[in-house]
Amino acid sequence: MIIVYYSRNSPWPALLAALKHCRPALPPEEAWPAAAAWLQAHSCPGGQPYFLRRFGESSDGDTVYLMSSGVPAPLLMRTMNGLFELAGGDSKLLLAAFPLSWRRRWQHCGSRRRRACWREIEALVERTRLQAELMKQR
Amino acid sequence: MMIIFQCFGGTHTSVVAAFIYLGRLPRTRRPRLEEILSLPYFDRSGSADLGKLHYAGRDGKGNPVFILGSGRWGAGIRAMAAALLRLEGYPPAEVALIDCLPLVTLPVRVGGFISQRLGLTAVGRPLVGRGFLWNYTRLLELVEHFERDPASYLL
Repeated sequence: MIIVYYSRNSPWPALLAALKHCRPALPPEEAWPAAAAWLQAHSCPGGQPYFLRRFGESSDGDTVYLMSSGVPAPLLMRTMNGLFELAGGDSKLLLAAFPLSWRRRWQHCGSRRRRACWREIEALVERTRLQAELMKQR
Repeated sequence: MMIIFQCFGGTHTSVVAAFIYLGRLPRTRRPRLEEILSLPYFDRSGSADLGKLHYAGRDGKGNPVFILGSGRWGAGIRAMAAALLRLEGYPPAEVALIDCLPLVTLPVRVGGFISQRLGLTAVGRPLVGRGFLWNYTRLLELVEHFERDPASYLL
């Protein structure tokens, strides 16, 4: 199954979610440096309207991607989920979007902010795992 | 193949183009204003419908035809849809996306604003409809271009 984490305006939330998905035991204090290092290694060439990278595989064997652009998440979710459902037949692709559009500087936010963000990330990953399980059972 | 006609709101230009394609609007003459105003979805979708694929019907080859409003993010949606449909492990799917946004004219824009944003449908809707009558040939050309060369519209 393919899982794509999406966040608007910054790849950071999607990247943190991908990290949490593939490494469930990862604490937030390690997630930020790991995300910064990953982004440095996978920098996006300029001029692209979106950022899409393969992140890795989860323990369940799912392939995890992350994606970011300026398109609002609800709009993208409505279009893509409709498209996958209609065009993809019984294929398994799940697009999970970080619900908030925070324009803050993710890399340099304080510890309180990080903890608040991390709770959102954990909720997103948990919901995505449940959705993936349900899709696999269908 | 899945066929999607896309414009800003998914309620005017893409609707007319989709129904020309499906044969509900004539190709040998200009339609009457009532024919345009009576189309399903015409001037009826709101901003909450942006991003939803609205089913319009099936063409002569059995391909499903949809209408989509993408706001000002049409190009981004197109690029990301193309990228996601080509992901490794995802089965190949044929999706043609016809962007009708370049054919949105000033009367359509103004009429749409009056009808959709100001809620004055009695004023805005006929103006939009007349805008399409004045611009019908270009819409017809777009549809016929797609029929001649569908490959250039594939994602």
